[in-house]
Amino acid sequence: MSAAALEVISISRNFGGLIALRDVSFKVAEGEVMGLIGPNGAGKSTLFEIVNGNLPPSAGRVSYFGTDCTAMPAHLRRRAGMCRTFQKVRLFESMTVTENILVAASECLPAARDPRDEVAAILAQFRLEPQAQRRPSELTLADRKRVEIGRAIAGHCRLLMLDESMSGLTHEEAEHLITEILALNRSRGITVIVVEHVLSVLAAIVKRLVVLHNARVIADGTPSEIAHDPVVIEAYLGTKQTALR
Amino acid sequence: MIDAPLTTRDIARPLRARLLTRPLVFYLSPIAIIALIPLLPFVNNYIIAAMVRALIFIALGQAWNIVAGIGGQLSLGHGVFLGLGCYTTGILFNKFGVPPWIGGFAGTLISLAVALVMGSMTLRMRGVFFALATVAVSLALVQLSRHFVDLTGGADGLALKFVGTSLWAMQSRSPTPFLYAGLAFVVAYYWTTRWLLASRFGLEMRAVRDDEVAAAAAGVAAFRTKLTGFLLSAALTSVAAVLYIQYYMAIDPEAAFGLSQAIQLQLPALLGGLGTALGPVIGGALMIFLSEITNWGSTKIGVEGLDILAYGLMLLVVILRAPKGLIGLIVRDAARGATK
Amino acid sequence: MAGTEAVALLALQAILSGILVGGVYGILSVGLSLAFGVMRIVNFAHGELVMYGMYAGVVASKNLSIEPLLILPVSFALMALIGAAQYQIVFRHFVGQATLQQLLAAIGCALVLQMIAQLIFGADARTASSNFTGKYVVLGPFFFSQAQIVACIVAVVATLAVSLLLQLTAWGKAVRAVADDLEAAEVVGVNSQAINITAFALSTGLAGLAGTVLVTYFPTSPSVGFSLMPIIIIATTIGGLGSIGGTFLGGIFCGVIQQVTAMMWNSALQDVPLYLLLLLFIALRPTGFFGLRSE
Repeated sequence: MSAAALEVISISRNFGGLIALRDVSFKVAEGEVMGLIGPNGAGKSTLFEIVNGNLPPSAGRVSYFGTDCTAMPAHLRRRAGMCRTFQKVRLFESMTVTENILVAASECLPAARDPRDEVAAILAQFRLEPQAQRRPSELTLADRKRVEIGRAIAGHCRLLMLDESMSGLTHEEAEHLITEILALNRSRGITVIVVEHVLSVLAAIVKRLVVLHNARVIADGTPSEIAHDPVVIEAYLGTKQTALR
Repeated sequence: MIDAPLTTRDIARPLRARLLTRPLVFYLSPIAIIALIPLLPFVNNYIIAAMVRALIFIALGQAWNIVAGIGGQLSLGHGVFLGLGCYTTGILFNKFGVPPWIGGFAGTLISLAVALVMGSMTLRMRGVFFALATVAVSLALVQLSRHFVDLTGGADGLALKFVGTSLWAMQSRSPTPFLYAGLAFVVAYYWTTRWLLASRFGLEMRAVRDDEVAAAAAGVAAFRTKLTGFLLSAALTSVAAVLYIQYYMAIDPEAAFGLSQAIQLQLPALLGGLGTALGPVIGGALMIFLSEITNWGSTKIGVEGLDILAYGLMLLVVILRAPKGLIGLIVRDAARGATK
Repeated sequence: MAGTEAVALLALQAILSGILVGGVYGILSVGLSLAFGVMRIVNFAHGELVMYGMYAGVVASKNLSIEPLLILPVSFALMALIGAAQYQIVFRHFVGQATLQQLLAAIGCALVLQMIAQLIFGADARTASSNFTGKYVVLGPFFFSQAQIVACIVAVVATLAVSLLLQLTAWGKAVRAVADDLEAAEVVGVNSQAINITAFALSTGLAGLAGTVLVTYFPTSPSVGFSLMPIIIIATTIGGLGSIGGTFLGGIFCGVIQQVTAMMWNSALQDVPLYLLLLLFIALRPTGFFGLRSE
C-alpha cells in the first residue's frame, strides 16, 4: 500500500490550561475526498493550522506522503504541494488576479517551467480570464473564492485543504464551487480535505467524514455511518440528523 | 470561450516593456531640465542648494520606501542607517584619511550588519514590535554617539575636514556638483524601485506586505523576504548617507539618529504615495516646497518649527483622507504596488 | 571593606531612587497600556500629552504662582479633553489593530502637538517649582528628593485609583469586557464607542497628571515627549501591554535600571541598558511578563 497522502499521528495541542486537541489521529488516502467536521470549538481550526504548519503541535506528528513534516515551515509545505484556502478569503488586495496567482506559480513551479504559462492555464481552468487584470475588491465573493483556490493549486498541488469554503455563498454558487473542486480531484488526482460545519454541503461530495468534538475524534467513517452514529448525534444534539441525510 | 490557452505574451509583457511604459522622452525630460538649471542666468547658489537638499531628502525617502512601502515593514528608526553611514564615512576620513568612496562602502557594510541583527531579532513578530525595536536602536545610538566623544565628537557631532574642491574627497566649494550627484541618486533609486516592483522579489515583498500568512500559504518564505527587503533598504540608505555628509560636511547625534529626523525621512513616501516609484519624488518635492514657504512665514512671525507643524498636519490629512498619498489622488487606478 | 560598603550603599541608594522615579514612569505608562489594552491603540503621541501636563505645571507655578500639585485635577481634566478630541478626530478610525496607518496617524498627532507647544511656549527648557522642589529628605546614609517622593506617592495613588475603577465600577467592568473580547461585550450590550472614548480620555488624563508631578523635578521642553516615549514603551512592553499593575511594575523596573546605570556607571548612558532590554524582550517575549494576550 502506498503512503497515505496525509497522516495525523497522535496530535495534541494545548494553550496554557486549555486543551484544544487530544490525541487526534487519522489517515487520508491519496485521491480521497474527506470531510472534517465538528461543532464550533471542537478543535478543527487548531488541527487545520497544525497540519498546514502555522502552529506547532504540543505532541504528535504530521506525515505527508510518507515524510514527517512536523517541523517543516508552512511555505515549504506549500511548495511540496500541501495547499490550503482560508475561512475568510485572503487575497493580496493590492495585486491583480493574475498577480495573485503568479505569486504561487513563481514559488511552487518546478524550475523548468514558466510561471506565466501556469497562470494562463489556471485562469483558463477557472474561467477567470475576464477578471485577469481586476483587483480582488472588484470581484464577487464567489469569484474571489475561485481565485483563492486557483492560487492554492497553482504550480504544484497534491493535497488541497479547504477551510469552510462555502460560507457566504448562495446555494447555486456553492454547487458550482463543489463541481469545480470535484473536477480537480478527478482530473488532477488532488486529495481534498474539506473542513466544514455545514453538513449538507459535505454529504454531497465526501466519501468519508472525520468528526471532531471536544478536542477528540469521535467518529470516522462514511456519511451514512456517521449519520447513524449515536455518539455523533448526541454531540450535535440531534439537530443535525436531518442535515446529514 | 477561448479555445487556445492564453500565452505568456498575453499575461505580461517582457520586463523591458513593463518598465518603459511611456516614451523615453517622458523619463528624460525632467532629468534634462534639472540638469540644465544651474546654467540659467538667474539661478543662484541658494536655489541650487535648496534643490540639492530636496534631492538628498528624496533619495533617503526612496530608500525607506523600499522596506516600508513595498515591504510593508514600518522602520520608524530608519535614521540608524543614515547615521551609521555618515559617521563611518566621517570618522574614517577625519581620523584615517580614508576617502568617502571607501568609507561609504564600509558604512554600508556596518549598516548591513546592524540590519541583519535587528531584523533577525524582530521581523518574526508583529509589525508594531519591529517599529518599536527600530526606535529603541536609534535612540540608543543617539546616547552612545553623545557619549563616545573621542570617536564621534560627542553632542556637537563631527565636521569633515575641508580639503577644497576634490573628487577624491567628494568635496566642493560650490553646490552644483552635488546637484548632479543628487540627481543621479534619485534617478538610480527611482529605477531600482521600478525594477523591484516588476521583479519576482518585489512580488514576494508585496505579497508579504498584503498578507503574510496568505503569502506563506502561497509558498513565499516570508521571514527571508522581509529580512532581505530590510537589508536592501538599509544599504541604499547608507549609500545615500555618503551624499548627505559630503554635502552638509557635518553630522551630529540628533541629525543622524534622532527620531524627528527619522520621521521626516518617511514623509516623502507617505505624502507622495507609499510603495510607488514616483511617490517619494513628488512627496519630497512637495515637502521642500512647504518647508520653503513655512520658513518664509517663520521669519515673518518670528517662530521656528512651522515646517514640522505643516508636515504633521499633512501627514494626518494624508492618513485620514488620502491613504494612497498624492499619487493615489492624481492617478485613479493607483500605481502598481500601492498599499491599501 | 569600606570600598565594598560604599559601593553597596551607592547601589542601594540608586535602587531606592530608582523606585521613586520608576513610580512616576509607571503612571506615565499606565495610560498607554490602557489605550492599548482596550482599543489596541499604540498612542505615539502619549508623550506629548505628558508634555502638556508638564507645561500646565509650569504655567501654574511660574505664571499663576499656584502650587502645581493643586492643579492636578485641572491637568487631568484638560488632557482628558484633549485626548477625547484626539480620539474623535484621529484614532476613532484605527481602533482594533495596531496597524501602520494607526502608528503614522499617531506620529502625525505628535508632531502637530509638539509644534503647537513650541509655538506657544518656545523651545527652551522650563521648570516648575512646588513646595517640595529642591528639598531633600535624609534617612540615614540615603537622601531623597522630596519632589520625587511626592510624585511617587501621587503615582501610586493614581494607579491604585485606576485599578479600583477597573475592578469595582460598572464602567470599569465594561472596559475590561471590551478589552477581553469586543464581540462578546457588544453582545451583552456594552456601548464600545462610549467605552473607547472614555478609556482614551482617561489614558491621556493620566498622562497629563503624570506630567504635572514630573515637572516638579524634571524640566520640560517641546521635545520632552519624544524623549520620554522610549521609557514608556519599554515599561509597557516589559510589564505587558494592557496590564495596569504589570505596566506600573515595569515602570519601577525601568526606573531602577536607569538610576543604577546612572549612578554606578555613567549618567549619559543611563537609558542604553533599557533599550537593549527592550530589544531582547521584543525578540524573546513581546507580551512582557503580564501581557493579556499572546500576540
